[in-house]
Amino acid sequence: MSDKKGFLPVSRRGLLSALAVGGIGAGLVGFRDTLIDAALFRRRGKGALHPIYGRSDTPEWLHDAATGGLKPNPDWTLRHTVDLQCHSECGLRVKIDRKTGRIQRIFGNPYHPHTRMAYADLNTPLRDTAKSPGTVCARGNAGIQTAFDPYRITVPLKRTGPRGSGQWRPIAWQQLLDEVVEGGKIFADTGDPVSADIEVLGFRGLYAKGGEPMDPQAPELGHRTNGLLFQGGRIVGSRLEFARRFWKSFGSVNCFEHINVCEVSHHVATGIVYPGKHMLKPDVREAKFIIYWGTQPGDANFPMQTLGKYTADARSRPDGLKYVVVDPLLGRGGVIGDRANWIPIKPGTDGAMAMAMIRWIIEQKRYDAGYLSHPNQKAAEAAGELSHTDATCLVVVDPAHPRANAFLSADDAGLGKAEGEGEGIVIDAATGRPAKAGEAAAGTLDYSGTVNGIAVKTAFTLLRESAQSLELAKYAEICGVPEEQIVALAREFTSHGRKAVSEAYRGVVKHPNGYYNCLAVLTLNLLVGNLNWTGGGTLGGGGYGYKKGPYDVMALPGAEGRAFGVKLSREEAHYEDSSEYKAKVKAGQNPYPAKRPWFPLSFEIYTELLPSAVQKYPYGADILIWHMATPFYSVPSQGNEDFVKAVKDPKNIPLIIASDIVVGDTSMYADYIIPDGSHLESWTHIDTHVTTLTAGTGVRWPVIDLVQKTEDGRQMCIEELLIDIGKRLGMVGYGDKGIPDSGGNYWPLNTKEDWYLKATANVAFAKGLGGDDVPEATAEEIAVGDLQILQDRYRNALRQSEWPKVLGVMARGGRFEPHNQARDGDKLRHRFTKTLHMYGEEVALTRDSMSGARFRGTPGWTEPTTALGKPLDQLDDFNAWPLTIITFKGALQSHSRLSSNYVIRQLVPDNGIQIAAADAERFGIRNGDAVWVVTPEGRRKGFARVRQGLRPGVIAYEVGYGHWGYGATNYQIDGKRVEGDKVRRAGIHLNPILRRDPDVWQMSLMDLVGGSVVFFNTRARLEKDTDHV
Amino acid sequence: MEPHEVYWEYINVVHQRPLTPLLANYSAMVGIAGAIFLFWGWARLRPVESDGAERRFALPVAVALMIAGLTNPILEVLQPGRVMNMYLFGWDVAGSAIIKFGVTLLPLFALLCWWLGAAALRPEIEAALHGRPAAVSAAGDLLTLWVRHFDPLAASCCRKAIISLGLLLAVFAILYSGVFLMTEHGIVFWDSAFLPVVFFASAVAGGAGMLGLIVPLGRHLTGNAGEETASGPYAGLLAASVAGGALWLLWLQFTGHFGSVEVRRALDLVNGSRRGLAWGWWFGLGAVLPTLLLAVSPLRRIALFRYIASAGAVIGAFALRFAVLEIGQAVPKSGAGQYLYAPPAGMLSDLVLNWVYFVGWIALFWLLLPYRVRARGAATTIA
Repeated sequence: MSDKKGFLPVSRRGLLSALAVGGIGAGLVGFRDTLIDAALFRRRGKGALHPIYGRSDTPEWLHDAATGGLKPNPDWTLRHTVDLQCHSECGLRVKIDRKTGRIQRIFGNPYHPHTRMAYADLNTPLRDTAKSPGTVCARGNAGIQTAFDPYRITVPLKRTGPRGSGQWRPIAWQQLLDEVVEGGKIFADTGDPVSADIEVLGFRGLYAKGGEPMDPQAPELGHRTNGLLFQGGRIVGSRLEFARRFWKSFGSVNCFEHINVCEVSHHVATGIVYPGKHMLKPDVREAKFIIYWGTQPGDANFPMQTLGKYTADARSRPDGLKYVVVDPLLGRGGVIGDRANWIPIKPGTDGAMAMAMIRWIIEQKRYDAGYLSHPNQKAAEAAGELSHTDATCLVVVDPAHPRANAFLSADDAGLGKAEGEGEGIVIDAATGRPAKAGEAAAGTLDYSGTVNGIAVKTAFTLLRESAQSLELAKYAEICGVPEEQIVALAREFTSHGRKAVSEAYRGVVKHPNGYYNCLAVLTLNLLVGNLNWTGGGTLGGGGYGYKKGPYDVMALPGAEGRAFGVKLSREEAHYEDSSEYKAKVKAGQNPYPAKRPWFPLSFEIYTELLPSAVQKYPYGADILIWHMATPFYSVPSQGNEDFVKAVKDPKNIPLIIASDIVVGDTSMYADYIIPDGSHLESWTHIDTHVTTLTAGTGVRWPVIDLVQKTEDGRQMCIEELLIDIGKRLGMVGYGDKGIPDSGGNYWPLNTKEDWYLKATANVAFAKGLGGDDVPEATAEEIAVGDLQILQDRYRNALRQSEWPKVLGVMARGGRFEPHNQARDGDKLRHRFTKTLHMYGEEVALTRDSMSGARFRGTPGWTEPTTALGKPLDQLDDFNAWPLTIITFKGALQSHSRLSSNYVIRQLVPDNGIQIAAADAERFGIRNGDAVWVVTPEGRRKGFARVRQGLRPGVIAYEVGYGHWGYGATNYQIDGKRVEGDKVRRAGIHLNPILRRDPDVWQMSLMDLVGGSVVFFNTRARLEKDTDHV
Repeated sequence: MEPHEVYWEYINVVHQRPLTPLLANYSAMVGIAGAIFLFWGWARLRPVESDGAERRFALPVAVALMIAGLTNPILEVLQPGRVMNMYLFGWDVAGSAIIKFGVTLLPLFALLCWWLGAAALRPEIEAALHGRPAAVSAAGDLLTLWVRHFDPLAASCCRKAIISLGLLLAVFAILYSGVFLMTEHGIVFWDSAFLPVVFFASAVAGGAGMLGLIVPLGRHLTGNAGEETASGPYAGLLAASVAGGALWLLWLQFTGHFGSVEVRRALDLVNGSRRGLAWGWWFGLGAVLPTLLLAVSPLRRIALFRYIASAGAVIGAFALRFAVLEIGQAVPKSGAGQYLYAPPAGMLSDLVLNWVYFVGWIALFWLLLPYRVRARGAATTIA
C-alpha cells in the first residue's frame, strides 16, 4: 500500500489503521455489555420444552389410559385464588411449575361465579372441572407480569437522600423495625439536611400517647394516636380488616381505603335509596331493558367480564335484552345498532336527563302507582309486591318547623309513638286520614296539605315538584340530549314492567353534583318497582362472613373504644358538632365556611388525607403508611408540584412508610418502602359482586412466594410488619394472646396465616344457604393444589378437625352458593325488604359545612359548583376553555399498577388524547399530531387520537398511562442505577392538571354530599405542538 | 444495574416493547449487503464478465455491513445470549419465531461473501502469501478460507452453482426483514405484500448507492485510484429508485383504497406528523432525487451528483425502514391506542456507533487484504 499522504495529514495506511482501530474499537467498547452477554450466553432465557411445541405448556390434565378419563399432570400445581388486576376480583386458576414455583398460566376458577355463567357446584370434584375452566379477561391473564415484574422490590428500602431523590438502600427487616418503632433521629444517615435532625416519634412514642388528647380544646378529635394514618389504595375485604384491626388496637380511627377516588357518591346515593346497601345491579340475563349510565358493559364496572358476558348473552337471545348506554364516550360495550344504543350526554348532566325522564313518567302516569302506594313490606307482599318505598310518607315542609325536612313522625301527627320500620306517617288511601306507615295497606301517593297543623307533602309529591321545576326543553338543553330522545327513552324504560333497570357507575358521580345525579338515576327504579324481581334490580346475595364463626378474628378484648374521635378526613361527622364550630358560634362569628369541608354523609374520603394532614386540619399526622396507594398519580390535581413539595417536607409528615411491590409513582416519596406481596402472594377474603345474584366469598392467598423472608421465615409484607409492631408494643390482639375463639380461648397471632386461616375457617363453617356446604378436600385435590404445605406449615393455626374443610375452601378458591339458586321463578332468591327511599331524610337534615345550608333530600337537577357554591360554568370561561376532559377505564389498562403488564401494553401501548372528529376538524388537528392539553392547572403533551364515538366538546384519556414511577424512570439502589422503562412512561396522564377547587387549599373539586372527588369537570383547550415534527 | 434479571425470561415471552430504529438499521445494512452481492454476482454470471473495481471491492463491504448489521438485533433483544443459544441448542429455542431462519442463513451469507470476496483477490493473496513462513501462510489461508487452494470462481464445475447460491442468499437477506415485518400480523400497516417488495427495491438502490460511494473511496485509500469502475451500479440505482418510488406510491394508493380504518390511521401519520420522514427522507431523498440526478444525463455525468444520488439512496433505504417501523407500530390492528416512538438517547448513539463500527470493519478489510498487488503486478501487502 502506498504511504503517500496526498491531501491528508496522514498516510492512507495510517488513516485506514486509525479508522479500523477507532471504528472496531469504538464498537466493541460501546457494545461490550451486549457482546459479552451474547458471547458468554448470558441472559439467554430457557431452551424450548419440546422440539415441535416449543415453549407450549404441557396440559394440566393427562389422559388416563386405565380409566379413559383424565388424571392430574404431576408437573403442575393448580391453585385457586382471587384476582386483583381490577376490582372485579374474579376467581383464578393458577398453573404453577411444581419444580420451579413459577407461574405458567392464569385462567379462570370454574367454581367462582364471576368466571362462568353456570359455574361449577362446590360438590363437583376438581378433576371434573378440567374440561370447563372459567375465563378471565386479558388483565387477569397478564397478572403473571405483575408478579414477575423485574422492578419488584423484594427487600425493605430506606431512602438515602431527601424524600423523592430516588436514592435507596436495602435494609434488614430488623433495622426497619428498630427504626420505625423506636423512632429518634432515624434519618441522620440519609444525608438529607432537612430531616437529619428531626426526632421522629416512631410507633412506640405515638402509642404511648394513647391517653393524651389530640387537642384538649376539642375532645371530639380523640387521642394523639389518631396521628397514625393508613392510606390504602386497593385494599379490600379481610386484608383491609386486618389493617383496621391494628388501627383499632393502636388507638387510631384513621385507616382508609381509596373509595372516594372511585365512586363513593354512587355508594352513598345507593345507601340512601336502598338503606345499608352500596350497589344496585340489574339481573342482566333476564332483564328486558337496561340503561347503563356512565358505564358500559365490558368496560370496567363490577365484575367487568361477567357484566360483559351476561349482557352479550342476554342481548343475543330472541326477545332478549335491549340496552342503552348514556355516556359522553362510546366504549366497547356501547354498541349502536341491534338492540343497543348510545346517547352521548354532556358530562355531569345525567341528573338533568334522569329528572326529565322522571317528569315525563310522572306526567304520563307511566309509574307503578300501585307499587308505590304500599308503605310497608307486609302490605306490599299482600299485594304481590316484593318491596316497598316511602313514596307515600309525609315530609315536614314548613321551613319554620323545628323538624323541617324530616319525615313527619307519629308524635308530630298526634298518633303516639311508632316503633321500628314504617315509623313514618302516610295519608291512608282507604280513610283519607293520617296513619302510621307500618299500619296502612296503602297511602295516598300525591298529597300536599297539613297534618296536625304541620305543612307536609309526600315524598312522591316532593319528587314530582322537583322534576317539574324545569321544563323538558330546559332539561334537554342542560344535558345536550334532544327532548324527543329523552321521552323515547322514558317510554321504553316504562314498557317492560319490572324487567327494566337504571344503573349507574363512575361516569355519573365523579362530579360536584355526583350524588344527585346518581340519586335521580336510581330513583327511576323506584318508579317501576323492579327490586327483587327476576329481570329487575338486585342488591345481591352477600357473602359468607369471615369475621365471626369458630373464631372472632376482629375481636380486641380490652381495646374496645381505644380508637375514637373525628377522622382526619372529617367524614361521618358533622361540623356543627365540632368544638371549632361551637367556639365560633360562641364568639359570635359566622362558623361557615369550615376550613376544609366535612363529609357527614360519606366515608373513605381518601383524597382529603394528605392535604388535611399538611394543613393539620383538624389535626396532623405523625406516621403515614401508604399501602398500594398512589395519591399523586390517582387523585385529580394532587400530582401538582406544590403539593408534592409539601408532602416531601418531613416537617409536615415526619415519617412515611410505603408498602408497595415496586418503587411507585407515590411510594417513591416515602422514607421506607417495605416489599409487599402481589395479588398472587397475599391474602384476602372478598365477597362476589352483586351482579351474580348469589352469595359467595372468594379466598385470595399466596399461591407463589417471591419476596424475601424475615429471619424467622415469614413473608415480608405489611401484615407481618403490623404483627411485629403489635408484638413489640404489647398491643391487644397480637402475640400469644392474639385471637379469641368462640369458646373464649385465645390463639396466637404471630404470623398473618394465624389470622387469615381462621378467617377461612369462619367462611368454611358459616351457616349455609342450601347446596353450599363445603366438601372436605380429597387427597387428589390436596395433591393437585399442593395444599398440604399449608397444613404442614401452619398446623397449629387451626383445630385439626377444621383442616379438611378449610382445605376444601382453598381447593375451590372460596365458598359459593350454587348458580341455580339465583332465582325462584319470577322472583330473585335474595331479596331486600327494608323501606326504599324516595326521600333522603338523613341528607335533608344535614348541613353543608361550607355554606351552612341544608342539603336537599329529594332528587333534582343540581348544578355543579365549587365548595363555596360558584357554578363551574362561571369558574372557567367557555371561550377560553372550550373542551371538557373526561377519563375512562379501558378493559385492558385501567389501573395505576398495570404498566408492568407488557402483554397488554402491547395491545394498547399508548392512550393518546381522544378527540371527537368534529372537534379535530374545528381545531385543525389531525390524527397523530402532537398536542398540548392545557387546563387552568397546567399542561401536558400527548398525541391526538381522532375518533368518532365521542361527544364533541369532550376530550378523553384512558387512565393508567404516563407513569413517572413504577419502573418508568431511573432510581438508584445502593448507588447503582436501575434503568427506567420507556414502555411504562408511554402515554399521557392528566390527573395532575385536573381542576382544583379554588376555595380550598389543594383540594380537588369534590361532591360535598357523596364525597366523590371530581374527574370530569376540568375544562381545557388544545394547542398544537409546533416544535414536534 | 439491571432490574432483577431473574425475571427477565417472563417478560421476553413476547415482543412486549416496540421495535426500535436498530431494526431499521439492521434491515438497511443487511439489505444493502444483499444488494451488493446481487450486483456482484450478476456481473460474474454474465457471458462477458465485467472486471471493474467492484469485482474486488464489493464483497468485503458487504461483509462489513453484515457484521455491523447483525450487531443491531443482538443489541435490540433483551436476551442476547438467547440468540446465540440457538447455535448450541437448536433452532427450536426460537419457537415459531421467524428469527430462526435469519440466524441460520444470514451468517452463512456473510461467510459466503467473505469467501467469494477473497476468491476475487486470489492472485493478490497468492502473491502476498508466497514465500511467507508456514505459520503466516496458514493464518492467511485460514483468513481467506483457503482460496489459494480452491478457487470457487475458477472451478468450472461449481462456479455458477456457488454464485447462484449466493444470489439466493442475497435475495433472502434483502427480503428477510421485510417478510419478518409483514408476518407481524398484529401491525396492520405492515400486513401487506408491498412491504418486502418496496424494501427490496430500496435495498437495491441502497446497495448500488453504497457501491457508488465506497468503491471509489476504497480505490483511493488502497492506492488503486486509477482502476476502472463499472457503470452498472448507477444504472441499477436509477432503476431501483424508480421502482422503489413507484411501488411506494402504489402501496399507499392500494392501502388507502382498500385498507381498514386502522390502516388509514397509519396513512394519516404518513401524511401527517411523520411526513418528513416518509416523504422527505425516504421518498424525496431516497427515490426522487437519485432518479432526477441519474435520469438526466448532463447531471449524471457530474461525479458530485452521482455521489449525492448514491448517498441519497443509502439514507433513503434507512429512512424508509424507520418510517415504516414507526408508523406501523403506532397503530395496532386492534385499533386500540397509538404509540409514537421517541428514540431514547442511548438508542440513537447505538445507531451512530453502529455505522462507525461498520467503517472500522471495512477499513480493517482494506488494510488486511492485498489490493495493491494487482496494480503493481507484484505481491506487496500491508502485512
